[in-house]
Amino acid sequence: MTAYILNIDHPEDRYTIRIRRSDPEKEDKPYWATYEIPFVNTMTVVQALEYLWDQGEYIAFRANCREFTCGSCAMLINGKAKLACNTLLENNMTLEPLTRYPVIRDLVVDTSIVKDKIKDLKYWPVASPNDREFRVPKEVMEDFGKIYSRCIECYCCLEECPASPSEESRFDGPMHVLQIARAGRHPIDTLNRVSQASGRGIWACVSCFECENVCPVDLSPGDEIAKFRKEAIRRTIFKYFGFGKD
Amino acid sequence: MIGYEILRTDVLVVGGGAAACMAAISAKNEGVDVLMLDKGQLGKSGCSPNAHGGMAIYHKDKNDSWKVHVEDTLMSGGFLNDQKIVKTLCQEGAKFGRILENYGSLFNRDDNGSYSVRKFGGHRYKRSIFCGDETGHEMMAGLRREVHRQNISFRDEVMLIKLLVDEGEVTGAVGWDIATGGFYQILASSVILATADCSGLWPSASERQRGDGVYMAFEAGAELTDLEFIQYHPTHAWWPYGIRGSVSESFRSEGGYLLNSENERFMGRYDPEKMELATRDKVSVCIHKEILAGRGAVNGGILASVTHLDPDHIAKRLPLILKKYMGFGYDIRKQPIEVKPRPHYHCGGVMINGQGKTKVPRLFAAGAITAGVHGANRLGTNALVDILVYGHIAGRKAASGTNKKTFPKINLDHQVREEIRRVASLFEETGKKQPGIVPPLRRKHWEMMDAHMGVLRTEEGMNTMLKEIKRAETEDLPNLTVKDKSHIYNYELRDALEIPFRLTIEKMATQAALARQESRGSHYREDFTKRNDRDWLKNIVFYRKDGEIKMEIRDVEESVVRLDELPDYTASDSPWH
Repeated sequence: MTAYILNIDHPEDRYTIRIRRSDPEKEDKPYWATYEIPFVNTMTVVQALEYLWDQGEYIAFRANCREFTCGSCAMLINGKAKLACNTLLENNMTLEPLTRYPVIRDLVVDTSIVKDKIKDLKYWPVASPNDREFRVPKEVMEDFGKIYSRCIECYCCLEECPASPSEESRFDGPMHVLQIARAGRHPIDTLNRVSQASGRGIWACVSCFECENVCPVDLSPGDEIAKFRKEAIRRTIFKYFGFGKD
Repeated sequence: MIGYEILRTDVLVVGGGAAACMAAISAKNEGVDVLMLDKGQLGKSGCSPNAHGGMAIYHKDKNDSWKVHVEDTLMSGGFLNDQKIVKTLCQEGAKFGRILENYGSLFNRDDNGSYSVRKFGGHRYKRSIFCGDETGHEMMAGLRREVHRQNISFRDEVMLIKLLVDEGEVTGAVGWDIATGGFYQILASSVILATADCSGLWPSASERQRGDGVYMAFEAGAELTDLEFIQYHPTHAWWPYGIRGSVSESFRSEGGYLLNSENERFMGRYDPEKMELATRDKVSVCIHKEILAGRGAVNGGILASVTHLDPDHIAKRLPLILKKYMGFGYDIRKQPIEVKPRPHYHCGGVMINGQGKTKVPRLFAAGAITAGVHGANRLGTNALVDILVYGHIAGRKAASGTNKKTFPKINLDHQVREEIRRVASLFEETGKKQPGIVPPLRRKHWEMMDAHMGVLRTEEGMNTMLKEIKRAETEDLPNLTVKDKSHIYNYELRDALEIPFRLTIEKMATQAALARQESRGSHYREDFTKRNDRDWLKNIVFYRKDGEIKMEIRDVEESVVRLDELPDYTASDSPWH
């Protein structure tokens, strides 16, 4: 709860929002609660929640940075996964917790299953300890600057992806593929990331590019999936037919 | 009575930012057990992911050296820095670029493959390596991956409420699990505090920096210093409403103008030479003076404009800011925006020695929680070096003093029970206890700290602040209770637990600012506007003795650079460099 929200001297309007609430200690079932907010032009959802908080409506939610770099305030806003800190408040908005994780309370969910994936997929560059000196090609640097450094791991794409998670294909979801691509692009990484991605169900992706649509920092994990698929096909062709190398 | 779980580890690292990760990794590399406790979520909490600028580690220019870097840091810090600590910082920083890259980060390179460097205000040479304007985020990307790779155990959303002290030594801590409402007793051979600074006592931008670690270290017997120095960042976004909280430093560095309501570049009156590019502390004071003189913008800030620059240049050099403002319907290429100085970094904190040790045996500290590196005013991009260098040192030293033999045997059950009882009492409503006082109390203190302990300070204002703290301590503190009775994810309880931390540190900071009868760095008094090196080349230190708060004024040690080595600096009595 930051100190910024606290004085709304001249509200321009009064908005109503509905929030999906639950407290496992008190109620058995989640319920919808309605709140009224004095609206100031360009007010964000997170600021509205902070306003309510300051008024004694203690709705549990996560938010840290307020400038879309930490990715902790993802929630369903009008049914779509978005960051509360860069979504402008609208009248009759609905706020719900993400649906793919167990709810802890109100808008807070337990995302520890995503963290297990970090270890499972080896998000870090896998290198032999002797391999410490390296150069960074310019195009790698550019890819990091434009794509890989920018993913804030907010899980919006994981929420909206229709193909993940899929038990039979082991597809983990768009963000994880982007992170595999990041690790593979690092100059010291020695793991075969193409076969890793290939074995993790990238073929289940339906190329709907919903991950690109919902990404709050304008990345396209779908493109990374497409690149991996193309490379996997090229390698297979090379293996069996002996042509197609570069 | 609620029970608690016992966790055992060799080294307990408190925090989840870069300093904590670095400390945990370095301790783990020494072959000991490490446990990290983060009040938020690892990689998503703390300030490190939001650091935009860079880290000053790379002395690329042939005239540049660690000594010049030390001098720059000291001049910016008003010569109050702990020089030995600064020296280590400037000497050791260089290796961390490569270390982080081996963990998975990457920093911008030149065509010939060496690091690109940026120049920041106050540095004489370009020495800050960076990754776009997301340096902290990229640093955390690498550190977090290494924490996972090394299988370092960590727990998210656990707030420490007390350090356990036995016969003057720290033997562990009591933790409160925010997500479940349960309690932990953590038994550790050594504890590293790598929590944030105290700038959240002022109305700062976000959910962090509440000074928990600083208070707990103080309570355990550590010494605190430089608490009067809070750096205000001059150009925090202020309007449109929704954008509040972001910093836009590059506005100034790219040649933006600061304008008052009369459309005047008012910095010309205060600093005709450097204009908008004067140091942060100075620009903050100037903006505040303009606003107080009634020349502020409509919504209470001041105007910052880049409309005179080439629109293509803006799109190329300020893409993120442009995008951010576009999202709120503002085109910065066509209209000026409103900014205001806001609290950014608190320079004070826990005193450490060159090994990252505090005064209390087995208690270490690293990162923003510590004082000494930054003195009276932090030099831009020095913070990210500080957290890595001292995170590394503290991690190694904490691990080396540890072996299973020194493992604390004493079970301080009664101390843990007392803490659990204290938390439970916050749920009770008896006598005069009024639920719901936490948010208004916090709001009041934010506003008052901003007004009386902010950019411009007066004796009268600070006395008002002290009176209010006294009132809150006698009236509100004993009657603290929460309205939200849930044990799960109860942020009201978290904030109620922070109130005693807040009041104590506020009191010490105000007392220090009142005692320091001069202006220096980020401490500017309207009744003493000049820097006074004769009387005030001193640190104000706080410690606890027999349950009382003691204040002591100590001379600065000129062990690396003497003041007379910097004639340009000593010749002026301006508070700012």
